[in-house]
Amino acid sequence: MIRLRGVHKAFGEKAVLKGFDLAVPRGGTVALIGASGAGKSVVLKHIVGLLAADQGSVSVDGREVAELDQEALYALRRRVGYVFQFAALFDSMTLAHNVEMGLRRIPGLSRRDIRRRAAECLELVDLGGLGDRYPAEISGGQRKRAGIARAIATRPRYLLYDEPTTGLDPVTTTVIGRLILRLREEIGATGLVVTHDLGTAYEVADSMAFLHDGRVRAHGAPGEIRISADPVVKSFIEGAPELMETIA
Amino acid sequence: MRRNEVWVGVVILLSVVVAVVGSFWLRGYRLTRGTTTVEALFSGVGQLPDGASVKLRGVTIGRVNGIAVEPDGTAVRVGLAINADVQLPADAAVLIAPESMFGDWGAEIVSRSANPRLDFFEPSDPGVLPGFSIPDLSRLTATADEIADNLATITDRVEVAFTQETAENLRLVIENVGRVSEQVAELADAQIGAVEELVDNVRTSTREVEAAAALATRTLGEVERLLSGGVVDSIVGDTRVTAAEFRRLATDLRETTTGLSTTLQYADSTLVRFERIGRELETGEGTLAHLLADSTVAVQTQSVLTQLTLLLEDFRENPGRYVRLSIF
Amino acid sequence: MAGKTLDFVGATGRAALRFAATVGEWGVLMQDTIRGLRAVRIWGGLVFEQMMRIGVASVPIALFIAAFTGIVLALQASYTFTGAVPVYLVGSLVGKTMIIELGPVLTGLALAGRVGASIAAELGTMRVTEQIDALETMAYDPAAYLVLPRVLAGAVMFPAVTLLASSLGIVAGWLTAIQLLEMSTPEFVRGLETFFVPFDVVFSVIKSFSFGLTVTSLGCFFGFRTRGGAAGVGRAATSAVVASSMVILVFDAFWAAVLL
Ligand SMILES: Nc1ncnc2c1ncn2[C@@H]1O[C@H](COP(=O)(O)OP(=O)(O)O)[C@@H](O)[C@H]1O
Ligand SMILES: [Mg+2]
Repeated sequence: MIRLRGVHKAFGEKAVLKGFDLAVPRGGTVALIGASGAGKSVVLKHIVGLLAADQGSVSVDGREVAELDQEALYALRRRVGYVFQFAALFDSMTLAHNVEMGLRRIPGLSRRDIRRRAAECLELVDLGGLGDRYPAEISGGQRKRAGIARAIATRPRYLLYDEPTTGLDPVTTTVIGRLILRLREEIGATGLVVTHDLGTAYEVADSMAFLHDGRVRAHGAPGEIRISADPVVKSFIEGAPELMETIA
Repeated sequence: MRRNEVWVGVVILLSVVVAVVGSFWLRGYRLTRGTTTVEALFSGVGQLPDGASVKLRGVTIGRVNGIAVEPDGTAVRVGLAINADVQLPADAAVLIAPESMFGDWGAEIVSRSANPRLDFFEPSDPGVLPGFSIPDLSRLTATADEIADNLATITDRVEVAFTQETAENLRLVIENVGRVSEQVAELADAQIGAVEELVDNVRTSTREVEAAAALATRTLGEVERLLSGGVVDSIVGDTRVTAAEFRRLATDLRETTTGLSTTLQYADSTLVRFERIGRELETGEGTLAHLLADSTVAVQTQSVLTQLTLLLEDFRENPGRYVRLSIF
Repeated sequence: MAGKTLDFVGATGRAALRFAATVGEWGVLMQDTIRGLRAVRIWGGLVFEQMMRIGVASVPIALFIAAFTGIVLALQASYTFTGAVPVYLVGSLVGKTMIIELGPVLTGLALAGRVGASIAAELGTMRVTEQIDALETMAYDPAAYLVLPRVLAGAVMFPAVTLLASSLGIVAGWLTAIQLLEMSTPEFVRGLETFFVPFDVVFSVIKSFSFGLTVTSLGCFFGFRTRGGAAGVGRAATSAVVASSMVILVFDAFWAAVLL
């Protein structure tokens, strides 16, 4: 279980999170939605300890992330797969090598096992034959999927997706959405999907949180969010900035 | 990956080999010839650095390899790595001297019997060579200064009455001064032999120096005669003229070559004093009765003169040793 | 007037504080890097590749610079020494200068441009495309994985490249002396030998070792703190080259004062 409570985070003068609360229960998939620049990626980075909260608590499986020593932090990171917004593939390595990177940090895994598991992961995201390609040689959608393959290689208990479908065509978006669902079935990972793409959110999530002004403005099942009466939520969901003005 | 490793290895190994082999090579170790090490003891080694060249008859045959003060602190032990196929003289000894004005000192293996006057350090172990470090120019000049000082002291005592004994001492001193000036002239000659470029200009100057020296000797003879009671004034006048002439020539020589000027410097300063004797004799009481007070100064001067004479003899016989100092 | 003066004083103070903070951040990165030494499993396999890219690939440019430096030194020495000084000193000047000064410093500066800029740009790109974050989420310590192999490779390869460069510079000086100046090989070699002491080589190694650490660590440092896309990457590369060049010259003076 991932739990954030009263998290504050500012970069210099700029306060991004101002008392952010969120719980992701084991086995569930939560979608975190919000406008661009609202701080969704910042939330994810707190969970794996890439950023430290100024205030508040971030815990995974009951342990406070900020209090982990380096070894424990690495252990946590092996339990958490992180899919970056722009994939963040290592562009000096082939796709297979990218996927193997995480596996090499697991003690006791033989070279052959590593290669076999990397191939399986690429297969799972339908990139079976492309292990020898470099990131620059494949399309954006393929890159996103390679990023997912890399994140799931270590069989993580949690998967954090940072905008997995942003910037993709509708068909590829659907493919990725289905892939997320399939991965939940096959490896049973708890998911946190950050997105501002509502279609994907409705499709994959069993609960949704709406991030606005550094806090969770609304929280509930996709059906509830969709019919929310809150003008801020409504404005975002209907894509109608005029509604924002009514509360201003 | 394999190719990387090979290339990295090549670059690293190559650089290490170049650095190590290059260093040894520049220190004079050649792989082609074997070396043996001999040792020599010195009372001091001047500015000899480890690794300096070792020569025999002007040919480099090895390197200085290790310089250490003996445990009891009384001598310096120097190792010389020399080519195994070189035969050293039976009575080999080691001389240390500067090789150029830039302060690179070197060692030279010489035959001891050919250098009887040099004060070699005597090692107790017969396997170790005796060594001697040539005094440098500053020491020569210091000796010359000492003589000049003593002569000045003599001059200062001019006013004091002198006895029969002191008159006798004075005679001896003057005799020596005459000999020294002769040797100065010869020395100039020797210098010129070693320095080819100076030829003409200097050669005429030298002849004049010789003539002047002869004149000085004659004058001194007269001074001697005078001591047994003669005419003072004309002799004194003679002396002064001679000294002035001598000094002018020394100046000429200095302009010709800085090298010669340094070696002639003490001759010059001696003669300045000499001139002063003449002047004071003239302006004094008009008699030699006041010349010397006590004989110790005269005796002292004589011993210093003896030193200088020895040094000058060596100078004349081995001009190369000293000439190196001033000319590359 | 007084206000302007105060502004100036304040600006100076701010700049000094920012500089101190930057040095501190660099110190933290170095501390992380040293701590990363334990994780041999992470960096062990990467050092050779960096040695190749930092060292072996820099050999041609270093040799090129050294060869021309050797030629110019020989020509200028003989021009300067005309008449007054014995000609064999051309050998001394070429040898001494190549080994203790120009070999290490010119190689250092050339590699500051070549290696420092490329490290800063590479790591800067990895930073702005979140590849460094990705490494961390995969339980890799970026200091051990990225910085350490580069710094180690620089520390080993700068001296190696410098020694080769100095040697070639001397050979070039020698060829110039016997071909263009009327010198003989024994004369040149005599000059080389006269003032050579083996410590010169040690001195050169110490210097280039410190230059290697400087260029690689500053390249990594400026790469790591890159912000703001492609322009940021460009700025990082520039900063790395400028800072390394300045630190190299400071170190040059420092070693001369401390060791000579
Ligand atoms: N490392 C950082 N340093 C400074 N500002 C940052 C940093 N990371 C994020 N921010 C700022 O925090 C805000 C939220 O960013 P982000 O979480 O990426 O938004 P999004 O919700 O689109 O993912 C942005 O305004 C961004 O400029
Ligand atoms: Mg984001």
